[in-house]
Amino acid sequence: MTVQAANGTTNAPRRPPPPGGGPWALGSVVAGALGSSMTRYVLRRVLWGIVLLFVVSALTFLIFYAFPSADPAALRAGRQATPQLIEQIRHALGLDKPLYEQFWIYIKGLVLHFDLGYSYENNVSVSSQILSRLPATIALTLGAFVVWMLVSLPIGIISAIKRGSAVDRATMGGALVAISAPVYWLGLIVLLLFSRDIGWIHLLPGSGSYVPLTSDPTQWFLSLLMPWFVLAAAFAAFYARMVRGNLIEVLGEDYIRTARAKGLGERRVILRHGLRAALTPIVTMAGLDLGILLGGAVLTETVFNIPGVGRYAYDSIINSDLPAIQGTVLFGAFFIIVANIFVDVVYAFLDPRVRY
Amino acid sequence: MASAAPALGMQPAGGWVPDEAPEIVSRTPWQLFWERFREDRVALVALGFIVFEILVALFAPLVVGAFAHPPNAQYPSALDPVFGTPTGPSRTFLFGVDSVGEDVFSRVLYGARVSLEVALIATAFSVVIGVALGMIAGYYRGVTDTAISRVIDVTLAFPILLLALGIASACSLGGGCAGGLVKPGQTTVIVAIVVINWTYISRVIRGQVLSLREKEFVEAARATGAGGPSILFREILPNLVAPIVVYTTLVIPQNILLEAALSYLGVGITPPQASWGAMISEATPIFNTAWWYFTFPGAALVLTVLAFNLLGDGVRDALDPRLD
Amino acid sequence: MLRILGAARARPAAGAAGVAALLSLAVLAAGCGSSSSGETQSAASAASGVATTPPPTPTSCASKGGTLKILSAGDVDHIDPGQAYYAFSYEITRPTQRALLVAKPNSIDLQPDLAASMPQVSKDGKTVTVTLRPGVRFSPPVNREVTSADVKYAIERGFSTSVANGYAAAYFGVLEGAPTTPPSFPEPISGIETPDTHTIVFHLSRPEAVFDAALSLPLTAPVPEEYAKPFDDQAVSSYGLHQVATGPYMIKNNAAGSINGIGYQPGRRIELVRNPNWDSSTDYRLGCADQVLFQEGYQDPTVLTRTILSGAADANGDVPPPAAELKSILANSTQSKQLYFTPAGGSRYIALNTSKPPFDNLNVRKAVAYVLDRNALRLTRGGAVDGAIATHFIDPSFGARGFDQAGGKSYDPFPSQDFSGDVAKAKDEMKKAGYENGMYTGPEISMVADNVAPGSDTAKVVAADLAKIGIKSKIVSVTHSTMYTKYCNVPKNEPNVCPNVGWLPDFHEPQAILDVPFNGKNIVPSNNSNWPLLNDPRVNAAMDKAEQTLDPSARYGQWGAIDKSVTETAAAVPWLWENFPTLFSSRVVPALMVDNQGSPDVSLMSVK
Repeated sequence: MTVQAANGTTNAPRRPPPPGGGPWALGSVVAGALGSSMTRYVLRRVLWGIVLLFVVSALTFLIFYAFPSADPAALRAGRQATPQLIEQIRHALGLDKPLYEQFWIYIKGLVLHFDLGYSYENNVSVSSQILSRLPATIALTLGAFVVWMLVSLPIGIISAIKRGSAVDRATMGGALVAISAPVYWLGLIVLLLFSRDIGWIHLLPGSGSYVPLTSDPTQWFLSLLMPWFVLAAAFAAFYARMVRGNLIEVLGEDYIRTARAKGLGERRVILRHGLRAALTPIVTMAGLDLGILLGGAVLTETVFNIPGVGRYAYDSIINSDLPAIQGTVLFGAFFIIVANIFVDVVYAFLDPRVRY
Repeated sequence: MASAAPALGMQPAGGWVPDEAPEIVSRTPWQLFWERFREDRVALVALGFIVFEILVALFAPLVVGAFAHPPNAQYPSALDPVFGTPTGPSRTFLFGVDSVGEDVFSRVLYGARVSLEVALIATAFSVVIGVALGMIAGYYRGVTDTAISRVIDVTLAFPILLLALGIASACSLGGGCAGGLVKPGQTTVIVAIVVINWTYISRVIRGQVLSLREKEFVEAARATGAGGPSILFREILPNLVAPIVVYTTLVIPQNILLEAALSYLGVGITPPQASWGAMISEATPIFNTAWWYFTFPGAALVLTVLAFNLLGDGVRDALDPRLD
Repeated sequence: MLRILGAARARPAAGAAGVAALLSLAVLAAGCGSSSSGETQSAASAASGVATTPPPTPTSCASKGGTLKILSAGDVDHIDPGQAYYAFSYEITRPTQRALLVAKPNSIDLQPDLAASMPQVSKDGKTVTVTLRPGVRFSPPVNREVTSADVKYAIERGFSTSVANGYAAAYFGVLEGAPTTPPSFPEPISGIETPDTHTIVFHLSRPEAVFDAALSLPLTAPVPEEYAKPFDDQAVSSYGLHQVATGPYMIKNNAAGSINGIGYQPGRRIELVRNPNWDSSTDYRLGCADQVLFQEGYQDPTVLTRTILSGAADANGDVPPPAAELKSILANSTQSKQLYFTPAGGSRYIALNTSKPPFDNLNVRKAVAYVLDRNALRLTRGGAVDGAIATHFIDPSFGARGFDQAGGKSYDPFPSQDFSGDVAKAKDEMKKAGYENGMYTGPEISMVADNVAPGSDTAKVVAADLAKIGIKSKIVSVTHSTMYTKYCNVPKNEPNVCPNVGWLPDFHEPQAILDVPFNGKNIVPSNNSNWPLLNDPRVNAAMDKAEQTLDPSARYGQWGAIDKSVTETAAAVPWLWENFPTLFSSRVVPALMVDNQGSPDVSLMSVK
């Protein structure tokens, strides 16, 4: 999701990267001494996360149940159903109760039984639907993650080292183009070029060819190649630019000059001292992006017809399947919040300057 | 945004202290900026392209009148009578026609209007709201800060597209929502984007203000009896100009993409109005045979966003030459 | 009837008249415009050359065994046969559930299925007696023989809120003792009598001509009460996820009878396996393959088509091959033999809201009927290959069941050259309505349309045509569900024009085309399908009379006349009698349901 590439990654307040080397060790000593304070911090963050989930749930209820774009009772009732039948169905689904009561019933079910309700579409439990679609989303997300990290790190590092050179200009130029292309358009172009059944070069399985890993590993892998690269493109470009920017800054810091003055080889300077400092914020941001994507990469899943959670979320919004909407939004929010907490805690652990 | 963060996090308050300028000629920060910017050829080209595009969008009726057909006029004769399939680029239809026989070239030009309008208006609103709330949160701290920060937390916990879809679907009926203020169509898209976007700049500005308020010149202003709002406007805001400009240049292209993504998903379209995202979405079922229908709007989208990205890079480099 | 989605399957049996009509229309269409007329002519004649006649009915299996694969974009509307009300869902119910009657293969005539013989109707039409075939048993885990009590329960449960069958009240509401307010859970209906285990007697409060035809709907497929009651006694019945079958196939289940996650993965696939308790001697069905897989989620119709052509799948379940693919298939001599077109039945039309200005005025409506370019409308759905341009509502597949009586193809009260609309005549009508120079001078009108193609394209064409007589339209673009449940089906919120509507018949009786959409008594405050809100007392009275006319030829004559009068009110402007294409792979012997929009009939198909 190109949008997420720039927008979503600023979820964490900007923290100064910890200086390389010494303070890492110092941090662990400090953390040891302040053990209980750390625990309290973690606890506070987790509790706040739970509150957030509750608020998100309430807001989702408000947006989708209070202003439903379609009438679920009428949808369920079918074409020639009488108005009485529709009203009966509305009553059976509990939709005639006041909003707060419906919400309370929902929360009770969620907290006590982990019950996300039953889909209005086919009366199957929402949690089972999400779980059955989870593997596809995870496969797509993790694969894209691996691709974009593997691509962006070397490119960013090389561009930073060879700053101003032709290589640098070329890669950064290419990166800008990749950031500027919407993921669904890029998906269509790639399908047009390389899709086995409808493309110009018959290379890879096209849209809709996803199969679960367990049924046919080769097909699974091949069908995900194009989605991985398309989804990773914007992220790789973005991260490459960031790695380059961060590394350039870090290499200008005093302690790097000191390391060089001490006579350390350039390679060691860069790899040992520079990278660590430059990459820490990158890695944490990647964690946040991963959290966002695990909630479902709607656009990629739509273009490539991957039966993931994102697609399910979009379909349920289209069909006004309220429990499914609620379930998928909560699911997405859960991962975002967990990723945030994880990142904050890691930062707090690593950088003792962070106040907690 | 994140790639601006190094610039924001690393540099002090963002203002230039005039004593550091060369003694011979005194230049204002903006003159310095403009001098550096002028030398960045790529950024100038991007700026030129954007100006060109804005002009084309503004004068679309003239251009279309000269070279092409009205964007909403249908030409069923350009469709295959037996199968209804559209024809591709030709002398009469430079970019081919779509599945109803409308001129794709004209629609691409008119689509520029929608994209630019929505992105610029949405950016403007979200910047104003975000900066205002960020300043208030950062300066006054306490309960106000907590409240605003919590609202930001909640907004950011939502999966973005789902939140936008939700707002859009809630406001897409009849009289719209918020008592009819938000009508279905472009307004809905703008509102959806603003609701999501203001949070990022707000956080950044809040962080900036948090450090600025401890500076001596703010203390001095307070000592002379200046009140909160006066300090915010006279002392702090001028020092925020750089981050605001940087943020704006970063977020305009993202908002263009967000608007296109939303109309791709079916939000905020009022047919028969042309919109790039909607055109790509309509083209998807026939994309492998009617390639022109999605390629041209997509290319226009990419070029526009690219231009804004290049411009943004140029502006940021000119503001902070250390990264040059 | 069946949901008119963008992906609606529509396939009625085309008689010779249909083929000739298609040929002439295609030639007509090829004549206007397009420099590639030579190419289009051959494609057009290829289109008619490839049958709108169905493949011959298989009488035996080419081979026993193997797997059939049907591809679809979406899922069934309901997996419970007592709720299913959608052409694609019938592709599952036809091979697994035996209703009392069923369509004869490749015909719109009915034959007994679970019934031993056609129903006996009393002279006054108020008593219908059906004898059941012996030897039909339920699939595991129920296993026992089907009795009349099972059919009685099946119909009764359709009225409850927990099952909520969409047509129960419409066709079976005439039963004595049928509930007027839906009960929460299934309750007995006194008008259904089961004097013995294989006889069922229906007592109607008044004669209903289509009651017999309604016995072919899946609601009449037997449901064992002792097994189903616990599932039906929930707010929303879950019997569908535990259903048993009576046909050659059943949805794969576990020992306890649950299909969830096993034979039914919602939105992903449905798997049918052999029903071990099926006795082929009691059934016209062949049951050749060992397994039938319905693979869902194929959102890209081109990919779906290519998969079938490659032989990796066998037929399309709910979406047609896209126009570009049809073109290339028809140009290929081998592939064109695998493609069949079936008339869908009923028609697509543009509904004009007659309850408020400006379309409360007959002349304004007539102006619209004249100005609409039906040719351009048809192009939005795929051109001449998509079917014939409609001039009234009963479609050609009905033949002597009302189509001929309505004047057939030649009846066109709003003619224009090449069906592209007649602006001059439209303006004349507008002048008659009081608009001085034939151009509308009132405020903007509202139109609610689909936000995806082809519905959105149809709306655009309608708006452009209305502009020719000065009517400016504001198009509200929403999802399909929203369009129906919030706007067009709710008279209070209904806009001036609902362009994406149509009506497919539940069975081949003209009442099923005209009654619900145009009878004033069917206007309801929500879930309304009489979109024009037409409430013409003479039309209503004629319909009420025809509904009770038991003699077929008299009845069809009456409905033919009603079709004409409804068309002349111009409350709705029909524009397409759609053909639905079904593509089969070369590795199967094809069979399709001519009474269900040409859906693949897996109970008759076999692997070569």
